[in-house]
Amino acid sequence: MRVGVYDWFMSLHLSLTTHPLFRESRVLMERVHCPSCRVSFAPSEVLFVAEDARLVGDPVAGPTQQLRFLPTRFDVGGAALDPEGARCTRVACPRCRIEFPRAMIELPSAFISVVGAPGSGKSHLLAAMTWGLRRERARAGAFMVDTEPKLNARLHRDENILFGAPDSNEIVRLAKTEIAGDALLYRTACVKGKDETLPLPLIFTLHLGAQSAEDIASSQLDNIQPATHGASLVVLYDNAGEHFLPGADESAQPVTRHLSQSRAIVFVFDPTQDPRFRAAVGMSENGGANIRQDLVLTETFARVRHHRSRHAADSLDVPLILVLSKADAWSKAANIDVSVEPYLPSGGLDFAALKKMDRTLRPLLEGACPEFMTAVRAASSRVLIVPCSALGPCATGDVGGDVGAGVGVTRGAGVRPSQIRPQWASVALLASLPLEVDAIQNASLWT
Amino acid sequence: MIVELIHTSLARGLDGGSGYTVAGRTGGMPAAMSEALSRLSGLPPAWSDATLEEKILCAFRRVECAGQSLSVLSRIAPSGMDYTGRANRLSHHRVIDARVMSESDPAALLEDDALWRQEWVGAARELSGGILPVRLARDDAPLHTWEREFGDAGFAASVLDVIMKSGMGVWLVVPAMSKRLRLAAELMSLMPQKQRWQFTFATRPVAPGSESSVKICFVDEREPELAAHNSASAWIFRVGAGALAARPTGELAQRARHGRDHEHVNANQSAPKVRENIQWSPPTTLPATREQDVAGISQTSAKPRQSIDQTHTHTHTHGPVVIQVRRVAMASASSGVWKWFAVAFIVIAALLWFAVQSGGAS
Repeated sequence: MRVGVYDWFMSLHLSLTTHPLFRESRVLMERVHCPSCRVSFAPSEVLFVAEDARLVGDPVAGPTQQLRFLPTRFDVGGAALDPEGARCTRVACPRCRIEFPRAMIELPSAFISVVGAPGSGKSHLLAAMTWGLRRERARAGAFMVDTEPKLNARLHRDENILFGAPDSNEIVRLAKTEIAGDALLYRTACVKGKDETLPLPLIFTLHLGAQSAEDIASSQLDNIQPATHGASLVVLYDNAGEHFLPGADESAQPVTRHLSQSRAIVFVFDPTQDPRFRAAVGMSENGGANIRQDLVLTETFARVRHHRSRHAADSLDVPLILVLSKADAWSKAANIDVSVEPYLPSGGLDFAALKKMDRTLRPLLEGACPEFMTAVRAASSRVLIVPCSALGPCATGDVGGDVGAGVGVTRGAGVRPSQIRPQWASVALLASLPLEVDAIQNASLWT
Repeated sequence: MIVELIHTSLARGLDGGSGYTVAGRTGGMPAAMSEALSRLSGLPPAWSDATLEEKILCAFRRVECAGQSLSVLSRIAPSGMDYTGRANRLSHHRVIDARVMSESDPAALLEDDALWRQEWVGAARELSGGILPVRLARDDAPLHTWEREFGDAGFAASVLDVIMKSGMGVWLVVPAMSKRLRLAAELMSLMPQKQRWQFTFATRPVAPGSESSVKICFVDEREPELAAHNSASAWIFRVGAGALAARPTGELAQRARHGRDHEHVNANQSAPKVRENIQWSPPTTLPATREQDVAGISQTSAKPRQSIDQTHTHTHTHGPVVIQVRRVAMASASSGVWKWFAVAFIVIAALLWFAVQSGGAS
């Protein structure tokens, strides 16, 4: 009898504690920044996206979008109910009404902007770095997953092209990033009666402190748990390089205003587009693709200063990760070894290796592109230089643009997925992540 | 004089930038107009095995620029490799003036390949302008492309009706390999020449509601953007479904099927004439589909069955009562009331079992 009563109470207790009514309250962020229009708001101001198929059309988001509304009715689980009574879970910004992941009101977010001149390799780098962090959690000491897979559709498209068919010898290539008209990159909202084209960010949930390779090898598959501590969101932006050129910051197309919120800026410097760098390392001409990348960097930080309302004399302490892209094309000529990646055996970044690489690359840049290094010095007080090859050594050659022209590559035609071996691709992102930024500061790597 | 702008990827554009930039434009074009046209230059990504021709976006749009409305014809097409070795596209825009509007129509101008640049050679430069030739679609021919793609050219009249009633623009899903520009041109031929310039369109997806939105987008069924939207959306139309389910029977549909010859035949038979001018009513928003509408449709479709039921009840005396009880049972089952009965039954059974167990143990 006692056992029966005890079991009954236990089952009652269990059902009550797991019931939505008695669940622990969620801790929300005090303020949230919209990843598209950057406006700051309290979680209580967040609009919900109606789910009922009849509630189509929103005055700001557009006539094809579901209605956005401030909920007044909720179900027992705390989900909002739309005017037709449907349960709603998706949320949107109260200003631009563009949807963003609900996790943004629950977890801290780190905005990271990937910047560079047209054709410097930003999209390839982004695809390679996120793919690396999806796969190599033990080596990197961290891993990322899509917070809302639907919102990262554009990146999935690029990842699938490059890494979706690893045995394929069919030549593939990423499309040049459009400046407008790509629905996976930009969204137009009618804010205060005026059309604004806003960027759609890539949002990931980052788990730091993942298990080491030994832990994973020794444990059963069902015992491997994601690292719940240190979870945060990483918000990345992939703009067309044209948007960073001087004069391209338009009020009707404010697609680079995310720079004002950036926790770190990853600047992709393409050495193959700099004639003096090419000459310094003995590379051949690339057909006239010479771009003043120092002006792009200066323009970027001028925008950061403007949008943060900083005094012209104030120094900016936004960490700048300077990525020297297409290392497959120039590293041999410059005597730089990128075959060994800077990871500790126990997982995580090897700061000593990073520091050594930074010290090797700095004099090379100082000698070949002094005007660029002057712009770097003026831009930020915290700089880290790393090389990167988004496609790997098989894609070596002397071609401009994003892809090389070596074993696996035809000039201008693309790359064979079977020969893609990214090198140092995830390092820049790991170095720019919030905790790593502080760790790098402690390791006195910033120069 | 032609006012035009070419936007493509160059190492150095007319305004100094690199990458996608202004390669050429008519001298003296205001900066605001240049920026507005540049913003129209994007080419949406196509499906993986799309042919070169299928990737081309032809559009007639109306955009606001510095307080005035511009009528813009655009042809945006893939254009080989750019200076970095990546796939390039070339956007050619023409701003149409009143003279051109009075003598040509937009689809016919877009159909003439000779008027549109396929590639850009040389450095960025200013263009001198010129005069656009007259191009006008025939309005006396049957709509063969519509007939081939949809089995009945009369659907063009239904689509025209849908566009007129819609306040936000519609997407018409067309079968793979369709000649979308030809479909637009034939649709226009149903309208008087002057009204054709009120009919904005695009042959690839353009987001409805944006400043550059159009009245109709001809969207290939393989378009990736189509998959991103709910196919039941009120602004996505398919021939054979929803508002385009029934074969149209009006006079305009007859004209689409048989051309002007149809009118002569009808005139001899003293049939009502096709209206010379299609009246453009001010746009009205399509009402969202509501439950009542759905119920109405299901009632209409259920009519034959009802009549069978009625004949059935005549032969059986207790038939209506049985049907009534069945309806009540079905209504309570669909409303979920049975769940509460089930829960109550389980609770009572559990209490009884608990009481019996307690009695047995003591």
